[in-house]
Amino acid sequence: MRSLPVTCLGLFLLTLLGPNQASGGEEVHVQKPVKVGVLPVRSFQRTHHDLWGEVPATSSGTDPLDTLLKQLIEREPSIQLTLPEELRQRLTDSAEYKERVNLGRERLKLGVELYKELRVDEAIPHLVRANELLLASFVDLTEPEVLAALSFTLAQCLMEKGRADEAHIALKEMFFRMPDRRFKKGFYSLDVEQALERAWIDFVATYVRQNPVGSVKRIKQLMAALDIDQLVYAFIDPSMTGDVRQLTVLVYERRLANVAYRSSLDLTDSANVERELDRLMSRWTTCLPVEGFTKPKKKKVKKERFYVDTAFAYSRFLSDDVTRQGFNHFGLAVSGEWRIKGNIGIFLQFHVQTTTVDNDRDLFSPYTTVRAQTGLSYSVRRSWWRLYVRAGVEAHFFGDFKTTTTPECKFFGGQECDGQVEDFQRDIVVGPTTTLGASFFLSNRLYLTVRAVATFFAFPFDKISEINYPLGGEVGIGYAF
Amino acid sequence: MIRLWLAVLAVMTIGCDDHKILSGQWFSEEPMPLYYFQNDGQVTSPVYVELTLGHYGKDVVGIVRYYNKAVQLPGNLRQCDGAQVPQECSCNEVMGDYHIKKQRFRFYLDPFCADSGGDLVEMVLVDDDTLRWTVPAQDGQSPEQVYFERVLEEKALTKSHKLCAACQ
Repeated sequence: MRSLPVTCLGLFLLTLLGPNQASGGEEVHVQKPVKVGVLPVRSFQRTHHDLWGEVPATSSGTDPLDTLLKQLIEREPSIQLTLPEELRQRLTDSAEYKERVNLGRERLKLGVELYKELRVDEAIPHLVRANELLLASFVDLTEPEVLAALSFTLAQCLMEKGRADEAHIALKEMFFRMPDRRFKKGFYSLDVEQALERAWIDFVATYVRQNPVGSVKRIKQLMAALDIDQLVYAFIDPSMTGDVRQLTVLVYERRLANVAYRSSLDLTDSANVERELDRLMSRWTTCLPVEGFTKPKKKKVKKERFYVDTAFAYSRFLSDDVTRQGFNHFGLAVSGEWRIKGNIGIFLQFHVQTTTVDNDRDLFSPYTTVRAQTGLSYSVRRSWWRLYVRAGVEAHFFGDFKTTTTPECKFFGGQECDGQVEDFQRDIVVGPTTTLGASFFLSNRLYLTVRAVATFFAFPFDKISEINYPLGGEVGIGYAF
Repeated sequence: MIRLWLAVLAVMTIGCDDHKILSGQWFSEEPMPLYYFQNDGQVTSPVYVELTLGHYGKDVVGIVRYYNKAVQLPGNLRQCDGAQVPQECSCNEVMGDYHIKKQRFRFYLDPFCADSGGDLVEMVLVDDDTLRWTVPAQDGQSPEQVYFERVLEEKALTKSHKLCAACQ
């Protein structure tokens, strides 16, 4: 093998790469308003006795609460409030809304007609599908009365088919969608009237009313569709006795897809409602999550100053005049780097490597080398990767080894080897070394690294003529702190 | 961690023996018709051939010994045990080359020590432990194939196996 000079190790990359952003200038801290949507206050306050009546139920009395809630939220400057009307508008303005709702309405109409024709078996699938289509467009928020009617019709169908349990669930959903719905006494069969009363009592006792759309998945979809960070939902719980009025306020957070704030207040003392609600809302606005504000993510990596890794190391001599095909070194590398200022650091690296026998077996036996390198480094760190260049000096400790290219010497030994063997005694050579590497962060601290290492043996001069220019590659795993 | 790297090294060095596969000792299963090499009419009977080889990439060197009967295998050192051809030329040193892709071993064989340079022999590696020598057709006869089986690994070879000297 003839000498191959080591060239172009990429130092010019230093000039091409920009300054280390992670350790660079001032961070821009931009405060963004938290986008908050508010749903109308929903009142479930009624008893099973007032299910019946010719006239619609009187106003649930939630309008003053809606107004008060709006005022209390609006006064917070870091909140960008979206009112119920606008939320409804956003939902109904979406491209898919009309198509889905029209389709859902058609299926609903078909289901109702089939039910009226007493074709209950055929009606049920249409009503179920209509329910799915309308829920997909959040019609339970935009037109709850439509879905309440659907649930009631479906419940009647199910009852006729003897599926009382499913009918019971449908009736409870109806009450959740339209809590103040009233029914004409005597218009429905006794079974239906009794089922309604049972469903209301069970609704009060067991129905989970904390989620305005029924599931975490839907609340996530809703907040994404509305493009809001937080959703305020308040409701007045039903009371069996009617003498308890309690307002529960929930705030859903989009990132968590869950409740971020929950509190309740007693409405029976109407004189203090405004003050109590003010205090309740203040507690929430005071604790608005900082995640609502943009914050550079690179904060954590800024303070990294040490990088240590261990790597699998391979190398071979580019210049090798003592074996015909050259031979390989395999082993372990341990590397440490200390970033002392900005992008500049110092490094220390050790290798312990052993040789493999070359194909021609010109190398008589494996030997071990120990390499120690130290010098300066320059690195560029971004969010998930880091490039580094190192330059320094290497001390290379050779073990004893012998070589020959004469096959008779290898086989017979003895006299056949006279004058045919190169004998390398244990020695140390020194020279400049350079490394080009890249690291890929698996987490804030842990990283994979790859690097190429090249060295030129420069001293002592009489030892470097036959073997020189070790070039190697390393793959390893490291930790930054 | 060091154990892990050693395991990686071990895996990487497995299955890379093409450059030394001929190393060891080989013995012909059948007597070889060395009439083909006859140049002075002194030897007329077939002989068994033993190859003791060192394989180094393309280079192959070693010793060839000739026996007049198949000795019990694997033998240690068969030289001068009565089985060897009782003549002056009982062994030769050989040097040849090995073509890795074709798995072909070529060398010159001079079984009568005639210093004529000998005749070119080509052997093909059939499997890791079998060599095939196709003897060219002579006098209208069809070519004959003789197989060599490995009887000793390289590690088992001693200095005595590599010695070519006249029988005492």
